[in-house]
Amino acid sequence: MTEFNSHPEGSVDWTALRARLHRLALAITGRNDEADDLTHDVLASLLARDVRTAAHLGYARQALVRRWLDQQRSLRRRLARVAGLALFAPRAHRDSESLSDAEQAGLIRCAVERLPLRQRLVLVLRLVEEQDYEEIAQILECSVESVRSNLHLARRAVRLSLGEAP
Amino acid sequence: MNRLWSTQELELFHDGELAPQQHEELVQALRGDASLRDRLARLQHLDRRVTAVLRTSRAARRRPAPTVIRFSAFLAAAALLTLAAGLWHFFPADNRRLMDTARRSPELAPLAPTSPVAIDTPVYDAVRVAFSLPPRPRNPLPAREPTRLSARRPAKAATAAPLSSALRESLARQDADAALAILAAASDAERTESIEQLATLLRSAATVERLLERLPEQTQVELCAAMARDGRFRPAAFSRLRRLAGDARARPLVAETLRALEQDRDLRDQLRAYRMTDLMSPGT
Repeated sequence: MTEFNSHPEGSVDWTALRARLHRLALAITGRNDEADDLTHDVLASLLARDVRTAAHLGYARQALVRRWLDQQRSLRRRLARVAGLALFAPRAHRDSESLSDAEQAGLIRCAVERLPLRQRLVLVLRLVEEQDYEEIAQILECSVESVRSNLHLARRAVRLSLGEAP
Repeated sequence: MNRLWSTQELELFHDGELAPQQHEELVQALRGDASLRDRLARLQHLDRRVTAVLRTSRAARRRPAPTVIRFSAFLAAAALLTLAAGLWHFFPADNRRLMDTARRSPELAPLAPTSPVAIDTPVYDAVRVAFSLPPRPRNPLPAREPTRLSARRPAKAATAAPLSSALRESLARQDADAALAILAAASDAERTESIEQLATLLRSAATVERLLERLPEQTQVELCAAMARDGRFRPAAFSRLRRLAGDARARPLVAETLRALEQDRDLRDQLRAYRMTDLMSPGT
């Protein structure tokens, strides 16, 4: 587990820790403002507990993921998410080869946002944070088999959104 | 006979999570099967694309406006500038023309010095009307309908509303004495409600600190209990409760309040984090 106390005097490198957490939050939420809020909330709550606990990247990452899951599980957020997806979801009408980069990126982003929460988290933790299955299972408190199937389903959904074969 | 490899197995291979024996078999199969290599390459390519997308925010990927819109905006700006320049030149010229006419015609000469600026052209009228609309008076917010709960408890609803407005007015005047007088005159139920309102109305933890200094200890504890439920005031509330716990008279009340707060599941962790659990025993 990485600990951000690489400064010579032993102090915590908060800038680096914040940057790592922000990158994860950005990948999960897809929006800069939401990522800022999420990162700030997590750091504040960790600091309220203990500075040394907050400095562990693994612990902070786990706290961020759980906080976001809690937020998304509230009814209001869930309704807003579903309504947003229903209103703004683009569809792939053409073969993925003929789509421009920007169109592909938009479809991928939309497909990721349409994923169930766990599949989305598994995908982000694997691709962005480069965690192995064991670590992802530990963060999400589930089995390795569950991680494996969720990741497969997430990748399948992204492939389908681009019009590729499942 | 060639084995058929599923997409999930290819993904596991790509992630390095395939069992060692299957890993070896797949490596062998990849050496002899071009279509399998192609499938694996597509999976890897997609993963790279998804990773790149996830690492950029939606705002960063905003597209520039289409050329037509940009050109239209340019045309609109140019038209506005032309119109402004035309207006600038039109009215002084018109004025000068009127003045010259007045000077030349003797019957109009007496009127010339007092004649107003010519604003009778339709264009000017339209501009004048458009830019001189009086601001609309703000509609006051409609009175809030009583909720179903308060309708079932008319006595409480009837007493709470005037107290709330009086408290709000005194706080708006920054008259802490009046606010305290209202609190002192209130009954127990009303006081609890008004203390909660007070905590919500006050936006600054420093103001709350100053107000707490002037309250009796019991009211301080009640106010701190209400404040502890709001994240903005929680540090100030816990700090004050800790200070109050140092007083032997207030200690049992503080301990009782903290135990009541501990019943709230959300606050339990916070109490532990702020190490308030040490103060839950009534003794020293």
